[in-house]
Amino acid sequence: MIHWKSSFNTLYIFSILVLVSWVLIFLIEKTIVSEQLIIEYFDSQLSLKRIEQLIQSRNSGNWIRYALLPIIYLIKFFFVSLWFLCGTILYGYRTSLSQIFQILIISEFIWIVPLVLLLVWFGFIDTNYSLNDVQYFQPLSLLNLFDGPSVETWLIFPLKALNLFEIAYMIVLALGLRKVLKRDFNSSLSFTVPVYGSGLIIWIILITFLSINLST
Amino acid sequence: MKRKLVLIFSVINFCVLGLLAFRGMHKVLKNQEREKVLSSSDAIFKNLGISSSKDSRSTLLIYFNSKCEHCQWEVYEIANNRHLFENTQLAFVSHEPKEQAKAYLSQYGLTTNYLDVDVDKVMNTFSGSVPQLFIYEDGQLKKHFKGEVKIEAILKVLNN
Repeated sequence: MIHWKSSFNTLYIFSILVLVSWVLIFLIEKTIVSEQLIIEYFDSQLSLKRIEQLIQSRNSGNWIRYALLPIIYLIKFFFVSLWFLCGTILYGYRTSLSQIFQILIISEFIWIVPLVLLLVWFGFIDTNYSLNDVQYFQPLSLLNLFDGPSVETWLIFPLKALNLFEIAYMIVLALGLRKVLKRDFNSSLSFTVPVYGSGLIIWIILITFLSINLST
Repeated sequence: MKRKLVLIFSVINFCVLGLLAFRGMHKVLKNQEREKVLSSSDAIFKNLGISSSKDSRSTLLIYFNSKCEHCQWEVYEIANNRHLFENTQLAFVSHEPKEQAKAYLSQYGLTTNYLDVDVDKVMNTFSGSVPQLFIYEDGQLKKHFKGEVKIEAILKVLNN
């Protein structure tokens, strides 16, 4: 009974996460990354007819991106949970994959904040922006220390990935794991930081490697 | 036992990542060398193993593949506006088999503009997706377009 209730809670929180993400992505696409903005961005290189075709193909592929979002979330949570489970074995802690999975879903809400900030920033504060500004927007990240367009393409991802939200994410994770690991916050944090940090470094290196090999 | 397995897994993981980081940096350095070559028409022709042209006109070099939709659009546009490039030296280069590239360009009467060079040398000179357009003036790179480009944008650079 308790197990069933826990599964229901996980599903419920996951549904809210997906729903909130869908709403925010929809709002960003409709209000911030407007068709006019795309036309202005490509105007110097492409004809209007080609830009319209581009927008059309973007719009027709929209439902696929929305449908893929929960699947991407599930894949992410599964692999990060596995990573943490390996960490618990190394540290000699006892917990289950489903418990870590639930904590990851709750912690993921941290990543809603940058999306909200993007909406507020370009919707109300910096309303005279270009598509470039939106692409390089990552609040509280290392990328803010550089002039976005002048940075090498392959450096964009690591500079964006190293941000203060990652620290907030680790703190929330540590708070959640504290309960399932039955440890105090400091022990939980000293488990979370190296385990999550090593995973993050691996992820950054992997994506950077791919962007180096795939970029023009 | 579990602990040992996790440790072995971690070591393998970090070795693979070390290799990825090393290969990534190698590629970055190679790309920087490529950029240097692409910045001068003499260097690029030398790299492709062909003699530099004595033609004093500006050069529009198009790196393409006949199977790519964006390249098809670009070649079609250039061929249809060929009269606008009378004062420009057009050169097409591809990493696909020569016969295939030539057969494709022949549909537009552009076979004479095809650079008949070794495919390996093409792969070594260019990197990334197609099409890419390079505009050279007085032997120096004036503009590098990645992806398809409208004719007006090319002419704007050529006439500037």
